[in-house]
Amino acid sequence: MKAESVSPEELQLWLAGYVLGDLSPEEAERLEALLKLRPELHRELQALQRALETAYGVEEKQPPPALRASLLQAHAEQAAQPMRTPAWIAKGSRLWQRGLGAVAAGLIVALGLGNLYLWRRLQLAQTQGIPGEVLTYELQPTAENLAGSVKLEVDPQRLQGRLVAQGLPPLPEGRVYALWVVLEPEAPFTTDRAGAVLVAAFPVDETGNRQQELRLPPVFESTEWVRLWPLPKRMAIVPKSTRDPLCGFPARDGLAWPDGVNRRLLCRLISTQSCDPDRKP
Amino acid sequence: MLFPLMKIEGDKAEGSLQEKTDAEVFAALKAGRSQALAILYDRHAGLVYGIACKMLGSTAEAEDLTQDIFLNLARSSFDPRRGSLRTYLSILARSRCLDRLRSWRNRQRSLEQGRVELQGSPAADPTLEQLAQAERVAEVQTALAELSESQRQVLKMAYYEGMSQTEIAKQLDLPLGTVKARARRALLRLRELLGGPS
Repeated sequence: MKAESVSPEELQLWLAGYVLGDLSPEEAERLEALLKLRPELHRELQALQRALETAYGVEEKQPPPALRASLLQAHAEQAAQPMRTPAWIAKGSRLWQRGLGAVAAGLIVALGLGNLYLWRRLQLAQTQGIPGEVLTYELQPTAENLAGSVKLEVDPQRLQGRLVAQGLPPLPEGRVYALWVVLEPEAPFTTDRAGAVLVAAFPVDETGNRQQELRLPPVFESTEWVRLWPLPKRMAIVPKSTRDPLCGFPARDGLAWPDGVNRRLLCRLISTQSCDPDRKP
Repeated sequence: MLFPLMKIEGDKAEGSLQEKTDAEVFAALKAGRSQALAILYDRHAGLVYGIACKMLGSTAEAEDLTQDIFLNLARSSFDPRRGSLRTYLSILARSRCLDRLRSWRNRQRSLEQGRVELQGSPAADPTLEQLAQAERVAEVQTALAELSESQRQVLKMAYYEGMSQTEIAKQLDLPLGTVKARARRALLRLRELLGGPS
């Protein structure tokens, strides 16, 4: 049966099916053909959409203008990165990949305390003379009213890292920043329910700076499991949503903690925001 | 705000992307045209953000979720030939909100904070707005009451709860064809009852 020979009743059902998103491939093909022939049907689609949204109380609310700028910037940065797709992971030809012997994907690291969260930025700069040795992840604020930057240098072979934080908002006494890496859901590592692994907790000085050597969790050896986006999802970075994951880590989860931070203390520290992470166990 | 849902072809002159249907703009987004994301965001961010604000009760969380959804849109499984982008976004936004709510142990506090924020939004004329809102709610209630119980149930499961037709059929122990037809007829009836210009 040709698309244009459809009965009016069937056509109405297709239009409703389109708005509900449940057309079969055959119906979709025939409706698409019909819409080309009869563009006025778009008005009916809109009316159906409007009825559906009205019935279920959908009300639009415009987000603040800064969100649009933030989104577009993040999108542009994504597009500028060669490591945006799994295909890239498998087929990329960078020297450092060969050096690693493992495919490298993206890394999303969320850094946060309260409202602060940083967005992954141009990364994978080679920070040393030998290709394949060190990956660099740069994080920038996700909103205009946030300040600071964090650079994380990673040696995936030795699981050593170095964190350089600059110009972050200074913290009240007893508070720290926490840095997470977010994994794909199927990644074979222990994560919290949001798919995140805590990498480090660190204080900053009165100017918001900090340099710190890190022992990295094993997931950095195989960055194919590191989620590409979009997290920061800020995920979890609000203290209330970080408490459980951080305190809920099993005793032997393979994570390595920053020097000088006692695991038990760290958990309490993050959950209460009231301890000193540099205090020796 | 509603926009053309599918492509209209036949016009030789290439209009700007701004004038294209959602389906066309989505295809451009898939092809890597960054302008496409801005256009889809301008068209539908209010929808996603509105749902997120309402469900999460926090503007900060709603902003985060909105950005999350749009940033991943190009890699989504959405098929613009088989359904409308707005419905897809609505269902996705609700689903993501529920995920977050489930993961927040102290969600109750968050919701309360959100309510404060939402209540803090000044209305130009609260009385008139409330009246208009009440009228709209009454109209919708009347329309929904005109549907059969089974129609309301299927439509709610499909749109509001974001269940697939297969899931609904399984849960209600109905043939798939019955579920689809019921949901579609329910929507057509709503369209008829709620009127509005076509």
